[in-house]
Amino acid sequence: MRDKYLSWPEAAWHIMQVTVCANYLFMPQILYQMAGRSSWVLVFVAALSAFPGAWATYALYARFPTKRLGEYLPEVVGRPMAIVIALFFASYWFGGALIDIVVFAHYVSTTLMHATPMQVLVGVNVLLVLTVGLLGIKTLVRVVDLLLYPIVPFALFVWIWPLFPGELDFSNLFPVRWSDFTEHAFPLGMGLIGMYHGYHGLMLTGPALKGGPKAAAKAMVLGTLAATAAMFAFIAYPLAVFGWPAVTLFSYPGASFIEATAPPTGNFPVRRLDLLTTVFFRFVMMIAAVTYFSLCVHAIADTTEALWPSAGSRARGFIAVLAAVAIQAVSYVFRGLSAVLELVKIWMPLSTVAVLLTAALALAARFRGVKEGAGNGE
Amino acid sequence: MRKPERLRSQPVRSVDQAVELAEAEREMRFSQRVDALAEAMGSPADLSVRNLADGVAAVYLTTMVDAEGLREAVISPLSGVPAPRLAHIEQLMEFVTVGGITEPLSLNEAADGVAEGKVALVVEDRVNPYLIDVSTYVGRKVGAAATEPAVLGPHDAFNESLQENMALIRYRIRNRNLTFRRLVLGADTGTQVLVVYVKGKASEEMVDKVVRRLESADTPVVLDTAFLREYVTGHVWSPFPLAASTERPDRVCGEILQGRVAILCDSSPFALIVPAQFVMLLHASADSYDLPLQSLLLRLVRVIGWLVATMAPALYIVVSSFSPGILPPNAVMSIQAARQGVPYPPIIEVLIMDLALELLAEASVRLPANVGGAATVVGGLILGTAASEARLVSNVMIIVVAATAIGTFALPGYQNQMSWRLTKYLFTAAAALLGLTGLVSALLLVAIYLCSIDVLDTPYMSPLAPWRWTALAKDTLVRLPQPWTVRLERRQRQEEAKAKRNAG
Repeated sequence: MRDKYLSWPEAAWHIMQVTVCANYLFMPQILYQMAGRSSWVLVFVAALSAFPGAWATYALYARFPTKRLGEYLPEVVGRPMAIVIALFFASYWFGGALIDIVVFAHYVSTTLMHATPMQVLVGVNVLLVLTVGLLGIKTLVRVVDLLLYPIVPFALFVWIWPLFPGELDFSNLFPVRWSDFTEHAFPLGMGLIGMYHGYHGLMLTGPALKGGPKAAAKAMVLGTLAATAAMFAFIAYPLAVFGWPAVTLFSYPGASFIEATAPPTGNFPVRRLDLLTTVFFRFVMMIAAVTYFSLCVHAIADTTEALWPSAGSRARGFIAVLAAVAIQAVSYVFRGLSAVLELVKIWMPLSTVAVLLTAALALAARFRGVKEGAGNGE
Repeated sequence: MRKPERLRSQPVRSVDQAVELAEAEREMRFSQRVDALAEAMGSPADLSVRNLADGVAAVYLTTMVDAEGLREAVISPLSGVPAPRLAHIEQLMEFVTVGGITEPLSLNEAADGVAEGKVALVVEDRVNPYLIDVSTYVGRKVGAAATEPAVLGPHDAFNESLQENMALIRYRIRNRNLTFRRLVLGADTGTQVLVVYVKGKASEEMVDKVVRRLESADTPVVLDTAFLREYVTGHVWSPFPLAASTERPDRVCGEILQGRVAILCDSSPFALIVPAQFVMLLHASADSYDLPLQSLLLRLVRVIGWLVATMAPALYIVVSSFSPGILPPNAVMSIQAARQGVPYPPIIEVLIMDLALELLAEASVRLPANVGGAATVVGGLILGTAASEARLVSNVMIIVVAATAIGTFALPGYQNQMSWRLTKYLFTAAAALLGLTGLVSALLLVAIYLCSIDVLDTPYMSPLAPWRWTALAKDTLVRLPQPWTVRLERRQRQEEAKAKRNAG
């Protein structure tokens, strides 16, 4: 029997963090480009669109409470399809890890380390992600827990401080126009379905969750709602500070917004806030990148182990190292932030496909009547 | 103080061999038996053979027995008693009223007993001698804590006597659930080791695991509890202390009452407490005796000291080499002005001064106490001032190193200090390579490593990660007032019981 070490508030925190971290560094800019001044409304629409995907993940968890995705895939769809689907999910999560790692390396390069080669910065990020990947899921969960202590004070500072100096002008958020949404209706709709996908974390940590399906449901609902509140601040605040269309001029509106709203006195000890933002963004990158990386490694390793038990148990470390080397190698291709954003444009539809595929898996499991301990014959 | 009865098992020997040996021993005459015993002991200079009567002799080590006890309990009552009246242990007990009389199975076992400080009473026509325990403890008495001094609270500390150390714990926890499990470890040293815990507080699985790991320790030498640390924790290369070492009995009592396990060993004034956790490293024993708000202040000071001790040199490098903009312009200009004329990059400055600091710290440990303080202060002042005037290092660097030293010494526990001194070099190197990014990466690597550690199935970073809110609220940064702590402990026990039921 697997060790149950994860409480539902910890799972909710993980889901919230993965959701926020996956979107924070590039989603505001993409939404500003696609929906203009009205983009902040989409934060709430995306929350509604997230619930079918969350339900599907929950339904799979309820059927296989002690198994990870790769372990129950052969039971749900059979061996050949299990390999295909596992490879799809692994590629999708690999892309997520790659994007987070490379985006953060670019952020550091443009703000702090202009002279350092990009590959070194990517290498440092890869080292961190690989370390957690090798040390296992329990370490990942604890690292996410530990990040509560630096992230919460920082987030509170970011959200509460701007309310006092009067930098926020919420009239900049209006008017909201229907035509803002219709121009890129299809890509927006697809993007919103997959925008809040932190609940995928449950496919990794589910077997460790205490309290069963009820705890999983609580974690997913609260985690996604908390992420919605956080994303609202990250998208609406810069808009309120800089107004439309000035907000689109910043590469990282969040970071610029922090600088704009920092205490105006020259004696403020950390005037430019580089230290805080860098530390914070590193934590942000860590949670999403490490979770994607671990999901990717486990999707392959667990499927391998489910299909070929003798090979699978030894595969995880090897796959982790291989994936890390692959991220480092592939990152050579993305030489600028615009190249990374091109990758994001490919990855966002994949995200939608991943959500739809999860729903399809949940339905397949339901119609085929497969569940854990039912002797499904695979 | 007498030593406890020895429980060491004999080496395994076949029945035939034992019978042969017994036959051979029976054939020995009295004087041969005394000689054989002395020979088995290696005839050391402190071995004494005293004839008490015809056919009765006491063999003992003069350095290991209590002279007064020997005279009163053995020599006086047995002088002139003929050998036939001591043929059986019941007869001997009529004369010798001390406890701890045993009948070893062989001369070898008798020799082991003499080595432990017992008196071997060789009686004619008896195959093996009796062993009478009148051993004494040669060493210092209970004194004040040298490495963990405290302003308030008890001042006594463990010494090298296992018996006295046991007593120091017993006096504080007068509860029949207090349990001492005795083991003998170290093939060459035969050291007595005690596993101390409170039944009902420490989990049985944890105690069993500790005992199992100790029993399977194949070390030939156990001269101190430190020799057992890696065996108990299961981590060999960890730079952080995963078992807390303390010489304060009140701390041991506090910890075992919270469900931890302590390990004491003969000839060691330090107890090991397992499992250690990260938050324990910021707690001092004296915190329990201060008012809650006072202990909060002291712990905050220690946290700041810890941050300064580990990161000040790295931040100096970050500010002076990579990201001066994170400080206000005036502060940056002061730092750069102070560095004018210094021929090295900041990393070399830091390494020079850190090395000087390490040398001074090491020298202060080696020097006699009455000159150590003066020497290090003088050394520090002269070295720092001279280095600064010669423009080998900047004035700001002297301030950074001084702050680092003060921060380090504010941390409780020598090993704790050493761990963070080591970590400081990792942070410094990372900052020198990649500035703030390197420092944050190194910080994360250390955090990840700490999160991955389990000591006896207890997460090292708990209650911070994983979250344990009750424990976190009770005694992490804030030590809650005692009535609240008691209430929270009750709730914690209920939660644990509920969690167990759910898991079941």
